[in-house]
Amino acid sequence: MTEHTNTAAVELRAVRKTYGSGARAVAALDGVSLDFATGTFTAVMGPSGSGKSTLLHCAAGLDRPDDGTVRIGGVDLGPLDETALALLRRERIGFVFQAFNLVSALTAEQNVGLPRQLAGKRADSDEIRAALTAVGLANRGTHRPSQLSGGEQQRVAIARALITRPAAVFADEPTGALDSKTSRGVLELLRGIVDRDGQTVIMVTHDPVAAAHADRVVLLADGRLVDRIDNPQGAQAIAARMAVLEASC
Amino acid sequence: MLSVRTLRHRWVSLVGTFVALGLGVAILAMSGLVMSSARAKVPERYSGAAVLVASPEVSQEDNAFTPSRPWSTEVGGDLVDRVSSVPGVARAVEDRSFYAQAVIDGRPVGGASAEALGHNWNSSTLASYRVEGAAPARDDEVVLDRSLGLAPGSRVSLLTSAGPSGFTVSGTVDADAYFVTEAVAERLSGGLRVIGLDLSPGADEKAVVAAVRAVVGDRGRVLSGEARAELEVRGEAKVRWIGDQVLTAMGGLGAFVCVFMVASTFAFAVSQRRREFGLLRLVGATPRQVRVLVFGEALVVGVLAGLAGVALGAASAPVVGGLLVDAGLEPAGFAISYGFFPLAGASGIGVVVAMLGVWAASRRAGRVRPIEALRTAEVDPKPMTRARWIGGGVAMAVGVGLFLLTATGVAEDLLNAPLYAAMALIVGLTLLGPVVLPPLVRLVPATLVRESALTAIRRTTSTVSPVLITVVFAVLVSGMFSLTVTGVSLEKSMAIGPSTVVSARDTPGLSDEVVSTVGGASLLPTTLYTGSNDHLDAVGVSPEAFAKAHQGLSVVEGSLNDLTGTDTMAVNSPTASRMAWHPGSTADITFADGSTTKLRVVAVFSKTSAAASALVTRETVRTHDPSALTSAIYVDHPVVGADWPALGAQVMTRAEYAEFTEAEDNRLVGIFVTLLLAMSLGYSALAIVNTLVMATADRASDFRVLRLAGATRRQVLGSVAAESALAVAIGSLLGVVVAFATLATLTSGVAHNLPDADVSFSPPWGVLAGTVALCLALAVGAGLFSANSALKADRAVHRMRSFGRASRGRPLG
Repeated sequence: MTEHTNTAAVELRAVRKTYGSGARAVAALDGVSLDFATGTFTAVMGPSGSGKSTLLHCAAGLDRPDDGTVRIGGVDLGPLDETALALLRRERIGFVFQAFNLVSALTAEQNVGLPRQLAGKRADSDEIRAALTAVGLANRGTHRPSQLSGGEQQRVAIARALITRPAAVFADEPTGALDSKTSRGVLELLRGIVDRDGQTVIMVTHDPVAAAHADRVVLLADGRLVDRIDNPQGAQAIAARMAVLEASC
Repeated sequence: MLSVRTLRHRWVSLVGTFVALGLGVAILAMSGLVMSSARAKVPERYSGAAVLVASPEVSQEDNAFTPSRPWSTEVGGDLVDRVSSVPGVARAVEDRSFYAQAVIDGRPVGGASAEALGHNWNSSTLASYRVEGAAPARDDEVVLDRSLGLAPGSRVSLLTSAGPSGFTVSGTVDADAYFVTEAVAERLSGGLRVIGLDLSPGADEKAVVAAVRAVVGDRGRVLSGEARAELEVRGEAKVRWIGDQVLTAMGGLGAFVCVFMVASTFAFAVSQRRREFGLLRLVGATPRQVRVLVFGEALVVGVLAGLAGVALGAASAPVVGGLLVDAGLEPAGFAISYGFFPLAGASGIGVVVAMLGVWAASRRAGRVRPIEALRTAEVDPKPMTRARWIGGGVAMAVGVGLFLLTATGVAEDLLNAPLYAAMALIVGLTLLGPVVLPPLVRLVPATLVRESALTAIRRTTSTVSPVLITVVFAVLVSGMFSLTVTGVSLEKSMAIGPSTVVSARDTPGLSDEVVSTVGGASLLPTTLYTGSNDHLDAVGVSPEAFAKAHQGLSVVEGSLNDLTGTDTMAVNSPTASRMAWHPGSTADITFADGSTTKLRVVAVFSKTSAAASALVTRETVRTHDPSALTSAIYVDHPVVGADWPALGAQVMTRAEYAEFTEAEDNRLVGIFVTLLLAMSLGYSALAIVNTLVMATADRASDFRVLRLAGATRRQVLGSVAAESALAVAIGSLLGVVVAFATLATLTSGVAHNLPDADVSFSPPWGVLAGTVALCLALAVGAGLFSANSALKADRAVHRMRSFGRASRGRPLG
């Protein structure tokens, strides 16, 4: 996918999403248009309730927008039914979340091979082992999630997200439940797959230190795009912009 | 296979389903085996007769096991003559049966079930008995059972319908029978009912059967091979029928509880695993794949439980069979034969039940949205689905509808209709639990317990429903059999007047000698054969004594004073209207001796006045039914001494007699209730423990939050105990409402059908209290046990992981 560096891996056009109805209706996304270019690492930030998680859910096809279009790898998600969305997730999207990403009944290897298995393919054990080695867990393959630390679980989740060579990897607070040292390891891993493999990573975070690893930071408030920082220079600069934003709401 | 992997990990949550299903299959396999083994067998007496000719069968719709309609002397003689001359028939042997019982050491041998053991000697050739000694040559000679220990030549007293008389043992056989000369047998037995055929060597059985059929025509049944089992002893058929009722009730109740439990445990397991399913959906599982996963798990559980259940059922069948024989619900000598179909059928049903039980649950699992993997659980997303509304509504409507049909007496099956109604209401209340329960839960003053029960309303429903089902069935089963209908039993109403009752002891009935010794009003039951296959149960009475003793008889038309001679009868009103009889009508009646005479109807009495459909004079019965035995004698004067035990009689006050007749009823009812109660309680105990363990084990995070908020360990356990107790309280309350409503409608339905009778039921308070206490102990115990282990495991996990479930609570957007 590295050859399409110019095209957007994920594009959002005038996406709207409202929760609740009547007087209690809250516009989580209020006409957001945004492109995530292939081979880039984008951090989505914003105060609590700014709509950043909703943005991620809509962009990844987990939630359907009320209005607007979402395309992943050029495919419009609007007309797809549940099964087609599942197939799309299986083949084109990887997910890394805050915690509880793994099926507790399965070993690390089995978790990594899950998308392959769901596709009805025999999981290639070399491929799985390579994926686990790439995240530094070569010798933990037969452990179950309960036997792994939080950081290790996140690495398994990243390995699973990458096994299908997806068009985009979505990460929602991937370091939210980790200490700072473990967090750095996970973020460097995400940075690495962008730089080395040309992967596209879209990460929601509230942590400026995490956002500093990205190529670009987009800031959301009240469901709108309010700011963007290209090539952020350190966490402090991001924190300063965030502070301005939070003060204004 | 993903199913197998997840199954291996989630076995704890499926162990309850496995056990429930395994037990259900075991009960079905066991009752199936016992019922299929309890088939009628060719009586040993006919084992040597290849072909039998039997008199026409009568309608058995009333389950009274009435003997077939005998041939008249002319028809019987003619048939014997004609079938003897059929080519291939070597000999046609008359087979006669009558009441006979030896008295040894001053007591009749064989007890009350010793019916019709007397036979003509010639019929002994229809079996291959080993005979020692000689055939009875004189009318006071008998060949009897060797196991009685009487050697040929010794004297023995034999009870027959006439009374005791002395016989000389001429020989012994290896059979529970008394063989006498043809003349004696003919005098004691009444009409001929069976002719046995000896075939010539080399005769073609099929050809003989066809030829005999042509000769017999519609005057009888020609039976060969297994069909000869139709001629089994009526008493055994009756006993087997009662056994079948018990087993059917057990199987039916077991199947319902099994389906119910399997469906609810699967549903519960799915609601607990929404996060896991969401995660699978997230990484690309299609809804179908999730459904297949859940189905696959159910299939594995179903197959394993089916196999285990069949093994358990097969192992327990001989034990249960033995218990039923001991209880008198299966004939002696009953043995289990292991058929393929009951076992395969039961295990197949197990798999089907698992599939059906998981069907709704799998659909729900398939609808889990991937985003749910990211949500904090615990709050029920949408407790009432449309399917739940529809299913619950339909079940409630069916339940209430059946109630109305029962209460107004429209429902024909008064025993089962209320049971189905209760089942429907249980299903309805469970499905509508999320709507029905909150108003009840809100009555609770304790905030934490109330709110936690309200938030996870489906979990609350899951723990309430096994209690509901337990209480309903326990109260219903014991209450239903306490339903007393006074005024329908002739014996009971007769006992109003006279002070003393003489009844049978160790014998099926009293001989004429007892009747003439005692005097008073006696009842001599017999059968009157009316139309082609119709019959009436009748009682022979001495009219003056009967009228004097019986104060409850209400005559609707005519007068009992006209019940005289041997050509009159009185009938109850349903019989009169069915046969279009009025006082003055005459009808052709065939008696047990095969003779047919015209009887004139002289009176019609109300339906509930007497248990018998018809009354005739004692003389009428005695003339036409030589083997008939008197069931009871009522006297209003003291009875003077006689050797009652040797006569097979006992003298009691009327209170003692009422207790005595009830004791036998109560014994059977007791067995019935105990079996059903034990089964449903055992099952429900399992359900309660299972759901509470599942529900509590899943709440480690709640407990952690409580502990972090400063609750002591004791306080956490206390709240779990209180919640369990709340579920039991609500389940019991609903259960009592359903069960008592069912009993009330049943009572009203029975009263509708028997307008003259006084119908009431005694609320089984003891059973209710015991059941609720049991549920409470189980629920609180199971809740505390699993909460305790959840708290322990939690401490261990907490040390291992740097974060816990509590942190999931952080807002994501």
